[in-house]
Amino acid sequence: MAIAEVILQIALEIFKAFQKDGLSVLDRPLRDVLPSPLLSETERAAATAAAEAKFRHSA
Amino acid sequence: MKYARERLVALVLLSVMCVGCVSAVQTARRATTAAGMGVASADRVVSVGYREAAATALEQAESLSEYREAISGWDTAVDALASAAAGLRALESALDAVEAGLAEDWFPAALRAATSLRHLVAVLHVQGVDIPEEFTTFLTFAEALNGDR
Repeated sequence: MAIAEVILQIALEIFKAFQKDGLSVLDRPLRDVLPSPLLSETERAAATAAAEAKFRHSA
Repeated sequence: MKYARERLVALVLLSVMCVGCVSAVQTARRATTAAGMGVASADRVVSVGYREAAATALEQAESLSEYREAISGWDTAVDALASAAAGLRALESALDAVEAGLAEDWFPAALRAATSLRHLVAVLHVQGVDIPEEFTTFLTFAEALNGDR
């Protein structure tokens, strides 16, 4: 039953983490909290384009 | 029954989280959104790290292959973030389908999302990125689910 105890503890921690603002903050759909594309994907696309431009010119 | 033990554990979790006594699907949505907030936090950290690492690599590398080699760890982090985000979106779609009566089960999607989140935390750890606080609880949950299989 160790797994159930661990998960119970986690559930309590999740509850405590969101107690301050209330669980209503978690009723938002994923698209409201998770950007698409991700910021890091956008960053990678821009950085890759810059690198390709630099080395294309230097080649 | 397949996943019988995991279902039981998930029901225990959902029962505890179900403070407002909403449905299991609604509670699973809340867990998905919480994990999504964690992924978004990690994404913000990784995007800054990527920008800095890319600028350094661009300055020091003498070829495109050298640049790509220098930035490969951060590329892995971005891939893991994208995979985790896709896993959560798939889970949300599975929950939509169950709620619409088009499917009966969302638990396999939850396990897949947990696997991708578990991979993400491993990658972030290797890359030296701090795990956002709100992410930790869901990741521990993912570890517990996967470790029990």
